[in-house]
Amino acid sequence: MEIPGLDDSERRTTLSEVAKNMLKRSVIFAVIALTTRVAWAAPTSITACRNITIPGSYQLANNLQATGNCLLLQSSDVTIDLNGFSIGGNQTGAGITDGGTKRLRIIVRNGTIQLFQTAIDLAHSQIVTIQKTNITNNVNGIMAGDYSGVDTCFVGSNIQGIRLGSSCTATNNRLSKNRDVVISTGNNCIVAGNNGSDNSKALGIRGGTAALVIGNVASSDYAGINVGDGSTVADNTVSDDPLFGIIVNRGSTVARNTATLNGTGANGEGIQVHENSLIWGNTSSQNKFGFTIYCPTLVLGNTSLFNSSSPPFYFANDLACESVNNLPPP
Amino acid sequence: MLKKITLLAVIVVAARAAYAAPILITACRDVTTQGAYQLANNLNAAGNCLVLKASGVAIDLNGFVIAGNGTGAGITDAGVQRLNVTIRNGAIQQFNTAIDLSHSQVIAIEQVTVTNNHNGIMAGPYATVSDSFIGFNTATGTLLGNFCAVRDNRVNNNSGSVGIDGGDYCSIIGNNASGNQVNVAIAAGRKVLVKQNNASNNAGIGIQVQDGSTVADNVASFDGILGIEGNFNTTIARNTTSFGKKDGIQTGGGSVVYNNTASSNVRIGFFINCPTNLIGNSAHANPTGNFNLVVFGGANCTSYNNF
Repeated sequence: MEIPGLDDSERRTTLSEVAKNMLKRSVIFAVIALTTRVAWAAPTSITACRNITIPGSYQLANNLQATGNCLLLQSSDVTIDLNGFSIGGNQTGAGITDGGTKRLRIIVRNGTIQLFQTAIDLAHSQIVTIQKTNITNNVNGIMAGDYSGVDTCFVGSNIQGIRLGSSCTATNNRLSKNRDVVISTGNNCIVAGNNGSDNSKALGIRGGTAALVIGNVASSDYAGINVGDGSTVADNTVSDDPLFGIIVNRGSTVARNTATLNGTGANGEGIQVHENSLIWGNTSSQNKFGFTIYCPTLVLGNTSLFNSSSPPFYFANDLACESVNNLPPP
Repeated sequence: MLKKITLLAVIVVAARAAYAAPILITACRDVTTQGAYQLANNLNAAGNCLVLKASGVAIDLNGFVIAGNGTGAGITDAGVQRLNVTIRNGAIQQFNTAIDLSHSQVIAIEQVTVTNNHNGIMAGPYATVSDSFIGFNTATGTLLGNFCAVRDNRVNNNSGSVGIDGGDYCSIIGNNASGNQVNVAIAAGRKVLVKQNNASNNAGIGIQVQDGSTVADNVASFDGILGIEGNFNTTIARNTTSFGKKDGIQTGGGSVVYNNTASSNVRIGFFINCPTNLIGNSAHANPTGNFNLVVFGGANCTSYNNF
């Protein structure tokens, strides 16, 4: 490089300075670029069990191991992305808990919580959303208050699976090998698309009044589906539940369900429906009893075959029911 | 040496570019160019927060909260039509309107928590709202234009006029719209599909649709005025509307009403304008009438296997 007015020694010194300056600038530039890259990881990293005291977005940076509670929420408006990691306990405390104080708008997603007294204990909180989380080997799986939703979770090998308050949704979950309760909800809930099978000692799906229970499998549990007044139970498959298949309370619609091999351990029935309801298009076969119906109720187009006790349609009180196009005719 | 340094810088820059990271938002601002944006922290606003001045914008709230002071909007088009806007994954609260894109079209809103606003979500035609919680708003929960899709949301404890309000040709499926203190929990225009929702225990009407719609597989029990109200030429099938404080199901003429249960309502089970086809419905213990058929135009209803 020719630099006018400089001798060779001066020129070498200048070139050396240029190179140093470029190196400095490049390093600074690289540091800035990398710093900017790091800044994209905006949620607050969680590296150990802790209290969460301010609203915001949090993300696990590694697996967490707890003795007692792990993440104690002391604020509302918290999103926790488990980021594929696990929170493990020692059979006490809770993986994530509100500590008995009402919090609002809590989201937990995308990881595993196991070996706690309660995996997620937000029973005093509302508007809780749990998504894509594995909940295994706890005493209690998921507990959340009103207006909560649990979607696309695996909940297995707990004593109690999912317990939610009113106006809730439990959708597209898989629940297996839970002991006492599979899904239990308050009033006005939607329970749809869940597979709650292979919970051999547990009550399957229990809902309050005005429940919509649709498209679930509740088989090989101790009992199948049991909901309150003014509900719809439709398109479910319920089988091999020794206590009963489906019990629905008054003023409800029970439609297009299949109940087989239920009630065999306790003189139970495939489908039991209480007064002022509509029962249509169901199949109840190979159970201890087929249908037990409290009148008045409209019984339309159902099939009750190969049940071990008769009659196929048992009307449990003296009031009149309307029965049309059922097989066999009552 | 110089070449290596330059190469290093180029690699760093290339790596930075290849990541194609969203643009970070650290404070309320105007969004003036299309692209992907991501919140880096909670935002607080006095008035509007994010004002969209471009189409083609995707905002990932990244689990954070945008909070207002009861005025303005959390995210707004400011009255100018924008297209192709996506908002996801966070909370917006305490605004006059949480998301005001009522002049815009082709909006996607998913996994958003919208609470404690005057109005929750307002968007124009071709909007989708899914997997969100919309509650505790005092005027409107969700107000959408024609051709909307509203799926798998929880819409609870809103007060005022409506929980979910869709225009014509909308699909409203799998929502829990219960426990609202509103006039109508789920309202929609003509030729809509309202399916597998729970619209129970609301102060007013559970579900209300206009002509040519289908309302199927819903529960609308324990509502304060009416479970389901359909207009002319509507299919109402396989719903449960029991224990309401007035009527179970009302519909206009030219409809088919089949396999529904409307029992133990305070007034009437089915209030039907004829001609309508009634098949296999169950109505009991409605003290002032299980089936109340109103004949107009000289045509009667057809009724089979109802009880």
